[in-house]
Amino acid sequence: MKHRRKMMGKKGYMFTVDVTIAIILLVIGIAFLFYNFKSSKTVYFTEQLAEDIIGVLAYTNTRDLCIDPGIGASEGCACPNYPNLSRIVCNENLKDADTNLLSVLSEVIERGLVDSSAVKDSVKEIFASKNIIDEKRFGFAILYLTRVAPTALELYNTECYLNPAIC
Amino acid sequence: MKLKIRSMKKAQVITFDFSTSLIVFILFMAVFIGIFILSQAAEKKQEFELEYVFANLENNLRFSPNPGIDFFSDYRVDKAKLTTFVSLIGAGSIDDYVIGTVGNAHGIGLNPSGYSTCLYFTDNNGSRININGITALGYLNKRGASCEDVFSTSTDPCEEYENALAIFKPVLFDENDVYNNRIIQMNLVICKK
Repeated sequence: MKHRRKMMGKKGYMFTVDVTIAIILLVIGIAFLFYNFKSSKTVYFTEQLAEDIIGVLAYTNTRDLCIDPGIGASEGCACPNYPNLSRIVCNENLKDADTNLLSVLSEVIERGLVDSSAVKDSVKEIFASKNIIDEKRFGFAILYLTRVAPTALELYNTECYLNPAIC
Repeated sequence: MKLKIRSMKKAQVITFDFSTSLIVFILFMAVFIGIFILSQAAEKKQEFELEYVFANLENNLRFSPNPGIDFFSDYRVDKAKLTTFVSLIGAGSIDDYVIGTVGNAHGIGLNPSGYSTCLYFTDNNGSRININGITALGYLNKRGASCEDVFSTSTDPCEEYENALAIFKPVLFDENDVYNNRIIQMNLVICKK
């Protein structure tokens, strides 16, 4: 009788543990489902961003931002809101200055008309300094590829990536 | 003999108990995993469709029966046409233009009644560009207020909605004046009901 009672007690203890574990698992499952469906979250798109950066450069003409592109700054060429871009566009050696920004950037790189810092500063001026792309939230790099160059030329890389201490 | 039968019965009960709990466990797991996978797929589908809202807006503006409001095309925002669009919309909804279909345009196949959208432009100094006294276009149905009013309170515009989506695009803000033309951020906030 005593032995039977002891066995029943053990059984009862096991059932209680079983039920407790089952309830915990059920609660975790329901909480997981609830979190998955009810949380209001903001989704940010970044996939399109690279295409947009190239797109806006390809669809913006030098004349949209600069006065008399293709002649020297002393002769009247200037980009009023973009002084760094003036270093690229106000160049009398450009073969085609009356075109889009992407073409002008390509020409100065291919023909070595300006030093690399001018391109880097220009990209930074257009996208990073003027609050178009927040470098603290979105890291981005612009690489330039040619058929002859063995590796991609890095035109720009997010400063936060190069020097995380500043961000 | 009696003991043997009793222990066999016990074994049967244990086996039955174990099998039942295993089946119940597998069923629960299948339901949980199934629901999780379904929810992920639904979210992906929604993102995929919403990826084209800028193209949808561009298309709708082009085919709109109202002339002179096609302010956005090829990464360029025409300020004069945007002013006309703002005058036409006022504090009303722009959901048909962003999510739905206007005129003969081909839309992205989403029902505008399921979404509320806000459109605004962020200037180079970080502030919203003011066009005719309005800095944010659109109407948030669930909150019963215009985007302009909700934005001015600095609260989350999609507070009472299920999901929020923020998209931006760099565009040339064309004022037809080289001294004022600049590349800015065009922003869309989409709240899903």
